[in-house]
Amino acid sequence: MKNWEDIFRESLEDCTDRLPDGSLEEFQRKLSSPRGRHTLAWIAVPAAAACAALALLLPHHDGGVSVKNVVAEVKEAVEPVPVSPDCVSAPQEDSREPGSQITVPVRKLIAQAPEVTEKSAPAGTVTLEAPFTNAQPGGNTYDDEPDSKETAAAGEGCEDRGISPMAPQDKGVTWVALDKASTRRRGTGVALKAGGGLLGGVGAGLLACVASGTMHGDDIELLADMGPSPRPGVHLSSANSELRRHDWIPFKAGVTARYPLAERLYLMSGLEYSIYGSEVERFLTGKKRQYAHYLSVPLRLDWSVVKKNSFELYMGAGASADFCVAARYAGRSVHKDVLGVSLTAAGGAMWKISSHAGIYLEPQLSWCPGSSSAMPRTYRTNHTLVPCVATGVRFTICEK
Amino acid sequence: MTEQELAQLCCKGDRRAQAELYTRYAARLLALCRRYCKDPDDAHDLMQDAVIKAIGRMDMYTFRGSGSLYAWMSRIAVNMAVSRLRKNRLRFISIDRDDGIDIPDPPPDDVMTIPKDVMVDMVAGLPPMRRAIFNMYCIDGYSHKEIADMLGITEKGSASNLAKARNQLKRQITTYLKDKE
Repeated sequence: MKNWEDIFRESLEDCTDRLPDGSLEEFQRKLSSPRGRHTLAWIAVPAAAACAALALLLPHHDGGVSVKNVVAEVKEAVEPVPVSPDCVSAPQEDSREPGSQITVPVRKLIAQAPEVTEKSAPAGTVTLEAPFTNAQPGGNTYDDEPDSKETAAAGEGCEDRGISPMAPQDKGVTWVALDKASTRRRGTGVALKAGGGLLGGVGAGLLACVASGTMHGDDIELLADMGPSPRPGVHLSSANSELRRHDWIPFKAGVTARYPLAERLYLMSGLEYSIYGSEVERFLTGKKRQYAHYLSVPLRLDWSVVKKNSFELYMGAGASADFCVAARYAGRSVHKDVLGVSLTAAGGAMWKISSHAGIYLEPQLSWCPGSSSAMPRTYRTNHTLVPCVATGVRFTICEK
Repeated sequence: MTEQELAQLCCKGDRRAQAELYTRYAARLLALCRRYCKDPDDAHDLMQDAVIKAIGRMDMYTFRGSGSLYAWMSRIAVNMAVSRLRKNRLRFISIDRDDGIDIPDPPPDDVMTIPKDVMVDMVAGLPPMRRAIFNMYCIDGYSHKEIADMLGITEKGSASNLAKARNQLKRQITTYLKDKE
């Protein structure tokens, strides 16, 4: 005998409903609406994003910032400032090329520095690689001697002109960041703009620190591991020269959320933590480890390529603001300036653990422009393109 | 035109065949969608989207005898209804009025007197999750396992929701029959 459910089934299973007026026309309109164009758009959007990412990344693949551009920008930015002749002695050759060296004698280091690396100057000197810093045709002490291989004698008063104190937090070490951005940022009021003052200041500062006993081997080591990438900045090596360095590819974990802009297009943001580790072997102090911790706020457009049940494959591109929240070298806190920006392209997979949350795993490739800040040298500062693997939890909000 | 020919022409993008497909199956599909959507306009939208999707994927259809084309299209419609339900699940707040007491089955003879559109309204009046599970299990013949997989719930959850849906429907039927008297 049939029960009420069977009756319901028979009644509802094959019943028909009256179509509203104009239903067929509406259907034909929907059908002829450019569905193909939508499909094309889904291909075009990620393709455009990928092209944009490539356009941004490829020109900088070999070293980040274009050398010509940086030199030109620094030339514009640096204004002539008279420099005391006792601070700088003029070189003879014109060889203003990236990677050229500036040699600063540091008497106190002589005793500590019986040998130096192949890159460094003769014993007892501190060698600064200053690729773009003293390029100023016509104006300052260097104008007539545009060679970047210059010897800056330690002179009194130079300190005032060229040094900005940025040091390990617990020591009064003097440091100078010499890239284009920092040069620009300090503007007209700071003697950093003047190459001569800068070099003299560095020399004087180093001597002053060493002479006053505030700088120790570790400080020099810290100095050597601080600052922007060696490419646009200054690399300081000393008696305790770096013999070997290994920067680990960073790892990233985060909690992110994405908001659907269209059926497969998402705007993603959140908070990501990344760690950059390095192992540095030095002549005097041996192997030591360094860690820099970053918090990042990414903003990215993600396109979902495959969506199947609880699995999803996606790709995306965007930018990220990165804050260096802590940096430690051999267990000691290191001074850091915080903000960096990177452009990121990513492709990844996400497994949904609920309808609105999923665990993602994505390889990322970031382009990190040379930082203006005194950051610890890491994979990020030593390489323009930074690959990494990111994982975490991602929430999908307001998905219809 | 046979189902197979219709499918082949639709696959080739023949507009007349697509219109024919719509004319042939839209009314039945609309009734099916009406069971899954409370709002008639939503049901109509769902039906049209399902037909468009079916046309777009017609190359995946395999003819398995008469009636297989509608069966295939109805599965697409059910999948789309379930997909919408899953996406909107957080928006629904079901106030559970089920007191756990089994309500006696209404007499079949009386149930047969209920008009179809009233039955549709009764089913459509269920909370979304219960409505979907009742439709899928009792009318469209899905198993609890299939329902659980599709809705992202457990089999127990599916059975529990079905029991509640049954009780609620029985209550509605009893009330309707009482009012009719």
